Amino acid sequence: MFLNTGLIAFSILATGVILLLEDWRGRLASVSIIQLIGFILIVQIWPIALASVKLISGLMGIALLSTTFLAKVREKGETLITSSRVFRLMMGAFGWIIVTATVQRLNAWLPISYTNLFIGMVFFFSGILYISLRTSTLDTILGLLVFLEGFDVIYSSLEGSALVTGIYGIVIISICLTGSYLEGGFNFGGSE
Amino acid sequence: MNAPLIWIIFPLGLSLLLLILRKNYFLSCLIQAGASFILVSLAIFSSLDTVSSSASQIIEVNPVFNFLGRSLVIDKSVKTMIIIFYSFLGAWTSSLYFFKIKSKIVPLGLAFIALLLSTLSVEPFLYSALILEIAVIISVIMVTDSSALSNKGALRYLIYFTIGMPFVLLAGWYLAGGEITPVNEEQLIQATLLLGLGFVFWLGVFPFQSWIPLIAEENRSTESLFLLILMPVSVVVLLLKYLNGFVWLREYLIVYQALRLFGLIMVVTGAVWAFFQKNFNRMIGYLLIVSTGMMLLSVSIKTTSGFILSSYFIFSRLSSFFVLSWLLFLLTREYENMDISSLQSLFLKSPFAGFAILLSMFSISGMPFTSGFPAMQAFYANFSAESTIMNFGVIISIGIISILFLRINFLVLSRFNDTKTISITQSEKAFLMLLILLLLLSGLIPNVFFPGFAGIVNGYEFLVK
Repeated sequence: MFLNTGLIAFSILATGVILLLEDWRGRLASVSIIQLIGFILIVQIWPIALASVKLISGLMGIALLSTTFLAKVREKGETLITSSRVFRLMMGAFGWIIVTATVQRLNAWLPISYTNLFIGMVFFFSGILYISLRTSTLDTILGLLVFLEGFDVIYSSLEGSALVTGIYGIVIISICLTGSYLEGGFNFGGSE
Repeated sequence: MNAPLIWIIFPLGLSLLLLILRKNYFLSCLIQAGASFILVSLAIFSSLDTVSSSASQIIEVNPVFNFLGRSLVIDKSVKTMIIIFYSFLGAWTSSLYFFKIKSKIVPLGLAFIALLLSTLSVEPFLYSALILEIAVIISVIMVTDSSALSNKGALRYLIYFTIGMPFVLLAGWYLAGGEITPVNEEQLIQATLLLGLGFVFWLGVFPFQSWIPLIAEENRSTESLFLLILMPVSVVVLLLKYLNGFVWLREYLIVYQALRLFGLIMVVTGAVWAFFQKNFNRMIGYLLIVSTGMMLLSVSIKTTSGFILSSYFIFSRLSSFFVLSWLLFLLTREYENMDISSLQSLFLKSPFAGFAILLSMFSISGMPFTSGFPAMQAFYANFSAESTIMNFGVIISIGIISILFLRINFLVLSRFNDTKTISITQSEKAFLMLLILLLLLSGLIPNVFFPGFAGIVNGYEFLVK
């Protein structure tokens, strides 16, 4: 009970932080925490070996993105004005309210544990919100990771296939690899 | 021999091998083109079951490949798709070699096609969404250039397909449950809603279509159009597979009504947006949306002829846009910004290019004696029986496109003081001549070209009775 409540609180906090932070290191760290929360939820219903695949693939992807950004000299981004921060937080809060209001009804559709569904929906919604509020390649990739983590938490409660887990892991790493490529992390050998 | 090993696993392996050999690009190009045509020949001369094989099908292959309890199954429909996709890849790669263009289609095109085919052949279906996502990721790398000014279109493409994937996976979970126990009305609505949302994202139905013109505009036509032509085709065939596979889905009337609505929205919005474009690449992007909409509308007819028509539209899409893509490449070589106004006096500058561009456009709008005509004419006849008002909407939309093409026609044929000629070599003229012949012959003798494409849906025994 305490664990679940704590996880819900942490998931809201992590998604709130990622919406507000401007430093790329902080955002990557927040996504790592989101992956960790997802792992803690999944490990309650899945064998630890299978659940670890998800955590490891997620963290590998984030490590890949971090390596790309460490190698680049990043120009300092614009500092967000307070009203912009408030707007983002309000949008996030709006999402959390929607999730809280609809999750009971959704539970009739998807017969899984309330905590998993709630946190899954929070990540799901925050991922989409994050993608819509930011435009850079890194943010798109991070938004997709948050979104997919949300879906993963929900879907893992429904389906426990090892092959799906494997392919899903490949998808997560490939998305991060694409992000790294688009940010100039590696070269394909030149097309032109 | 095992069919999925030949047409899916081997191309994936070859793609990896060519990645290593890529320093010698033109050798890789030749190997990829050669391998594609060999795979096509193997598909033509092989038989999946000995009972229904013809005299020319001398190679017998096992259609099933099992892997960790799941399987890749090559049926009649997938075999037709193998022939179509690898022929297209072979032709595209040959053109890359012919025009000496370095592109990431060599070798990623092979992996991309192999993954698209595996989405159509994987059993159970629910894995198709995941495999499609991997194909999307590979295609993003194939299309984009990390040094490009903007890759917005490719990012949106990645976003929409990734958002679509969970919906299709969840729908697959619902429907797979229905295979064991009957699905009640409420579950059916939920599954249909989820599946519908997934396909709306994947097909680029308004307002999720923005990635199509953006990719066409931002990225090189040699890669972007390859992707934009093929991806929606495989999504539509995947949709047909879902319809064929689940009895509740194909018997559910709302599904076809939704398809009709989505198709009409795509045709109308695509036509209107195409009409107001100044950039030629963006215009092609919108025309591709119209083409996808026409395929959806054909499927929505819900009769055997409707499903077969959707496969005919695939042929006219592949042929017309193939010609248009390579013409676009030739023109981009001359003009930096490919505005529609750049086509002024094209016929005087290069009669071959001028004629080919007009022919491919008229083919898209379904004018007589072009490859688009047989499908479009049959569509009007069949669709008017379904919904006169919607058919009127389609006719108006195609009318808008025709007006656009007439405008371009005047531009192409007009006299202009700028007498600069377009440098097209003799061999390139021969290439254009070949493309013009393809479009004309497929319009004049459709019986030779179209029935082969019907094989895409003929394999779906519950759709084509």
